[in-house]
Amino acid sequence: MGRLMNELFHGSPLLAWPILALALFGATFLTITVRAIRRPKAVVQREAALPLDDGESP
Amino acid sequence: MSTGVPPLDDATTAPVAGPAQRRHIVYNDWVVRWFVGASVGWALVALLLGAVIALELVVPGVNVHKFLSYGRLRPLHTNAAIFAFVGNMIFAGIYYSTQRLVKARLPSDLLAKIHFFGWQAIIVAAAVSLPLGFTQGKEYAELEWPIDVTIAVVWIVFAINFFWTLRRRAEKHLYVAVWFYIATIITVAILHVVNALVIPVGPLKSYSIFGGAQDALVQWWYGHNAVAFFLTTPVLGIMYYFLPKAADRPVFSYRLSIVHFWALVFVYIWAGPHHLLNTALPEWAQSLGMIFSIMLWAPSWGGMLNGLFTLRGAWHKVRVDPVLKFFAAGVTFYGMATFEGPLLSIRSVSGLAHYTDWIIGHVHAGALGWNGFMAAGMFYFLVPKLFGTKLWSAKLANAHFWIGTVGILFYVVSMWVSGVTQGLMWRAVDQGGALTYPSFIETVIALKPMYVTRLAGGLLYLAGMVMMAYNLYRTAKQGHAVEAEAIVVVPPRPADVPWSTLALGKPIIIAAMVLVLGGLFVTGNAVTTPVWLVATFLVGGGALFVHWIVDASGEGTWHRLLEGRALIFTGLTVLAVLAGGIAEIVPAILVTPHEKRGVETRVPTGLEIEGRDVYLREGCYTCHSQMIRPMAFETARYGEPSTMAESKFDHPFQWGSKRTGPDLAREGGKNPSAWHYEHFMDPPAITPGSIMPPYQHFISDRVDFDGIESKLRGLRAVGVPYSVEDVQRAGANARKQAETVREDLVANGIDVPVDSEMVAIIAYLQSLGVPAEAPAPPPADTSSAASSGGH
Repeated sequence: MGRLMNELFHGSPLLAWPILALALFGATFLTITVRAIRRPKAVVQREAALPLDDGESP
Repeated sequence: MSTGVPPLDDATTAPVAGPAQRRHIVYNDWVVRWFVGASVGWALVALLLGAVIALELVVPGVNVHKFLSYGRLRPLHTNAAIFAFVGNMIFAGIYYSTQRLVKARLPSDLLAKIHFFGWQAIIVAAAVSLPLGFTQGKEYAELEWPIDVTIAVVWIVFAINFFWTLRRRAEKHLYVAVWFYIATIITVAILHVVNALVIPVGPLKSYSIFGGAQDALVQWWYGHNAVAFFLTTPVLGIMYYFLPKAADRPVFSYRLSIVHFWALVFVYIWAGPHHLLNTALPEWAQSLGMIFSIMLWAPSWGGMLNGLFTLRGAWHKVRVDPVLKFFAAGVTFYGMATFEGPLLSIRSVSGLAHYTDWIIGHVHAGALGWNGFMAAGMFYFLVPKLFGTKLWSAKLANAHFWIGTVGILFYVVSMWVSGVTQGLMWRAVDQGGALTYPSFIETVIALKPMYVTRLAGGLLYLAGMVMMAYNLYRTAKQGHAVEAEAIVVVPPRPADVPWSTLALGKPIIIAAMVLVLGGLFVTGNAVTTPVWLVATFLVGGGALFVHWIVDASGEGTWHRLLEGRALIFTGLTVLAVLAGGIAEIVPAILVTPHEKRGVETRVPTGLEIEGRDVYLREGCYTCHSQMIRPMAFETARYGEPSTMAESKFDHPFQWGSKRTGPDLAREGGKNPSAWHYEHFMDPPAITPGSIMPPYQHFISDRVDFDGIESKLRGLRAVGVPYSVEDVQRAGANARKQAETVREDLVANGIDVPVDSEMVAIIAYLQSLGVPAEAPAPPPADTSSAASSGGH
């Protein structure tokens, strides 16, 4: 693994940035997706309907 | 009238002591009307300017005056389209929808007025200053520093009024459209401030504190995200409000909209370097930009599908309702443009498309199709409501739709054909490896039919917008201004959850642990790296699994709490945005470009700086690049690939984004000074078929030698290595160099004043690509010059 990493970073040690970026994105994306999927249906339906319920007078 | 809100359904909105209240709201709709009117008016101006500059590329004789030349009007066209047309449109949409989504009136009419009049004043200042030649020379950020400061102030006024509205809201949950607005306001502020960091050297003159590759990275971090966060996220917010409203059905998947928002905000900010593929930008930054651009496919298409699927069961309405027709087509164009964008960000595709008209086609598919059609749909929806009447003519709106669609197709397809033709001609080589089209002008002449077609498409689109303006005017005239009212039930405000509960919530802690372990994995040695890798996956995956089991009730309160807390939500959005910005820009600023082959980078002289300022003022960078890419066909045409070090003293960088004319990175010494003089006076006389405008005013417009000192002092402050003596003697040195250039011209029978701009810009062009210790440019020889021009 160490040799692999050395080879990977041989071109530029700055490669750590994109790898970290990908890890950060992956963690965020996974967390948000899981939470979005598990959101209760009734809650989602109410929130999705907000533009249609603006309480305006006809 | 709302007679009641749905029952309180979870812990986040659990009531505390106190009864529910009924609140009567009169929305501030006059500011929406004003912004709609301004947007429609500026749209016509922006499109007319577009038609004029398209015409100038077909008939160069239309460049009748220096104030109306292509290079000065093109930045005005882009600024008018982005900030005047779309800017006013998004303000109208944001103010209208936010008030209704959070059930609160804008808190300050005064701030709304300052916002409106301040923004229009900025646009007028741009319309005056850009044709006069006051420019920073950075695409989509050309406006000089006093206007930049005004933009920041007006934007803050807008932000205060917006967040103040959220603070007073009667609806606890922030609908997804509001998330997009929050991201827009925060990110545009960050982008604008960072990219506008300059050293003023005069009342209307400044130099970017960034230079060369660093400036390129910052500029395209800004430029790309101006598209992302000014032209995309606010319009997505508008889509999420107005499309369900017009279709009278909720958004297809609210869950998908959550994923869409966070993924888009996080990924978009990284993609800027895809504008700089195959340039001298460090490889890692190019790779980063390419990878994140390709990842953008997913959230962009997620959003597009969410929009289109919202119309499920309502397609019969699309046939007859012009509002839905424009929205459906707008979202489809968004899908097309966001498919094409990542495609163009693949390095090999960029190698063909970059600097060509393909990019112009791509941009206009987004601007005309996505922004223009979403704006039209919103206006056709809003104006009848704002004036308490019906649309004056649905027939005319439908005619607008079809004429606009045909116009876009003419425009985009002609630019695709032009771009691919251009790219293929540049790289075409014969069997011996020599360029098939060695003279750049051959590739320009080949594109002329496409430029005519583009003009026709643009005029059709403009005609459609004129029809829209008339239709809206008649609609407003037949009705009267209405301030909408609503009575809403405000549930008792629940006790606020402490910020620490949110900021130190499980997802945040887990994400932090994963990041720390991931960092250790990346920086570890042979022994520790595998350990950290396993630990990262164990903590991240394990935590998700445990959370899934333990929290099986599915209440999932953390994100719900977050959506009810605008401040913390905004803070996390800032973090998501800054993550990309900092990770890209900080390393680039820390890296010092080094000279190759032991050749020192030439420090531009005072006269050359004056020449560069003329080059910027005339918008030469809108047609000429200064970046030779490391490709055989590029080096065969222009010379050795450009390096980072070569442009490190360029404040701002001049790599360009389009080649309507040839690259100029190694122009120095390529042609005699007399050739440049003749070429500026009458380009087609030197290069038959050229569409470059003449610049005869370079003879009569003068350089202020005394003013060069302050310019060099400013550049010295941002890192250009001038000595104190260089600065103090700047005027005298410039005059001396100008006399040398003039003598060269006089020797060829050309007499120009020593302080003319012609002398300065020739000195600048002759310095391009010339290393520090190189001999002076070759002596002028007009007789051979005429035959050597490859422009």
